[in-house]
Amino acid sequence: MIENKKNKTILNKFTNLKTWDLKWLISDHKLKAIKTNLNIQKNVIKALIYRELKTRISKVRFGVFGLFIQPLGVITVFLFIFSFLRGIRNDIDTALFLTVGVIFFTLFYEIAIRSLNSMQANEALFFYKPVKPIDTVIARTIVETCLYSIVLIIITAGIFFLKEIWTLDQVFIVTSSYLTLSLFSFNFGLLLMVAGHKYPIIKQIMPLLNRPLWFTSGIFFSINQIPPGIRGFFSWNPILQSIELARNGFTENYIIDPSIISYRYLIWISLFSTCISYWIYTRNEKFLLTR
Amino acid sequence: MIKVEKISKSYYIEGKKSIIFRDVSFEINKGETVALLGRNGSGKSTLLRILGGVDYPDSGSIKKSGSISWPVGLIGGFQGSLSARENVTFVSRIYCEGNKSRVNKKVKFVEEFAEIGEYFDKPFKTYSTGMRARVTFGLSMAFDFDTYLIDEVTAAGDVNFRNKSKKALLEKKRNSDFIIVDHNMFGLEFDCNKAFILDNGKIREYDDLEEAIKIYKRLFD
Repeated sequence: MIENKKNKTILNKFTNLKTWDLKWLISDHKLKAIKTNLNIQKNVIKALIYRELKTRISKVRFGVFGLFIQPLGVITVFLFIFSFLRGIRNDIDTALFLTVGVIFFTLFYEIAIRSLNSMQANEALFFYKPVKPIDTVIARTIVETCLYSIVLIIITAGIFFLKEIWTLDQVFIVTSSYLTLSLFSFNFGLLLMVAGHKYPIIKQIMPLLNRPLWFTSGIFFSINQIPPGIRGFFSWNPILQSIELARNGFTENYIIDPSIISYRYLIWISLFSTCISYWIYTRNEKFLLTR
Repeated sequence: MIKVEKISKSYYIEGKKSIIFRDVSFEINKGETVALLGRNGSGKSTLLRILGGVDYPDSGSIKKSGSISWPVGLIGGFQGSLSARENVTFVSRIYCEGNKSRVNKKVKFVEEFAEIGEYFDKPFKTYSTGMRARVTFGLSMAFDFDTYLIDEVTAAGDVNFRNKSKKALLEKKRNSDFIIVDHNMFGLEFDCNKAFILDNGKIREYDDLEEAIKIYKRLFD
C-alpha cells in the first residue's frame, strides 16, 4: 500500500515536471504571447504565399509553363554549344549536369537577388501591422523552393525518360543540398533586403555582380575543370558547393574532391548566415518600416 | 484609449531634414471621435500611420489599448496589379486567423458594400478614385476595431456612397472610436467630440468642432 502511494507521488512529480519546467524557464503569459505571435505570423505567411503564387504564376505569360521556359532555354543553348565545342561528358549526362546548375542558380537568384527590391515591391503590404518584412522573404522562399523543386523533378524525369537512363544514386544528398541552398538564399536575401534599404547604392552594384556570380557558380563547368591553383578560391561559393554536391548525388560517377566540396561546409555557412542575417534583421526591423 | 507623449517625426528628403511634428502630445479617450484638420502636407496621414503602428516616430512614446485599424486611405494598402477581390482576400486572411468561411464572408461583404460590379475582379490600378474609395472603405468596415483611422476616404465618391458610408460609420460609432481626416467637413454631420488642427509641427486641440473649423478657415483662407 505504502509503496504504491510512494510510486504515485513520484509519478505525479514526473508528470508535473513538464509544466513546472516550462514555467521555470518562461512565465505563462509570455509563453501565451509567443504562441499568439507565432500564430499571427503563420497566418500572414500563408496569406502571402497565396498572393505570391497568384502573382508569380499569372505574371509570367504562359502561367506555370513560363517557369520552365527560362531554364530550358539556357539548358538548350549550352547543350548546343557543348555538342560543338567540348564534346559530351562521360561521368554524368550533360543535360542533367546543366539542369542541376541552371535550376539551383535560378533558385538562388529568385530568392536572394529579388529580395533586394522587396521593400519597394511590397510597400502596400506593410500598411497592415501584422505583416513584417521578414514574412515576405519567408513566403517567397517557400514559394520559389516548391516551384523550382517541381521544375527540377519534371525536367530530370523528362531527361531520364528521353535518354532511357536512371541515375539517382543518393536522393538524400540531392534533396538536402537543394534545401540547404534555399536556406542560404533566404539568409542572403534577408541581408540584401536590409542592406539595399540602408544603402541604396547596393541596388545599383548588385546587378553588376550578378554576371560574375553566374559565371563562377559552376553552372556550365565542374570544379574539376578549373586549374587546381584557383579551385580553392572558387570553392568558397555555396552555390557552387550545392550544385556539385547535387550532381554527385545524382550519380557517383561524378567525382568530387572531399577536400574542396563538402556538405559540412555548406551546412556550416548556411547556419552561420542564419545567425548573422537574423541578428542584423532584428536590429533593423524598425528602421525598415520607418519612412 | 490612445496616449501620445512628445512624439517628433521628420523626414529626410534628398538629404534635407524636414520636420513634420515636434514634441506633440495628446490623449484620445474611449468614446471620442476626433476630426483631424490641416493643410495638405501638414502630417495628417503621417500621424495616422504612426497611430496605426506602421510607421515609427523619431522620439516619444505612444500607449494604446484596444485594437486599431490600419490607416484607411486612398493611397497604399492595395497592390495595383491585383484585383480588389485578391487584395481583400489577402487582408481578410491576415485578420481572420485562417478561418476560411469568415474570409469568404468578409469578401462578400466588401463586394456588396463597394457595388462596383465586374470591376471587383479587375486590377486595382484600373479603378477610378471613387471606386478605390468604395473598396478601401468597405474593407475597413468589414472588420471590428476599437479605433478606426480614416484618411479622406469619405470625401471621395458620389452622393450615394457618401450616404452609405455615413450610415456605416454611425452604426460602427456605437462601439468604436474614429479618427477622421477630412477636407469636406464630413465630420460636421458626424458630430465629432474633438478636433485637432495640425499646423507647423504642432497640434492644437479643440473640444468644439465648429469652433475649430472657424479657426481653421481663418488660419488658411
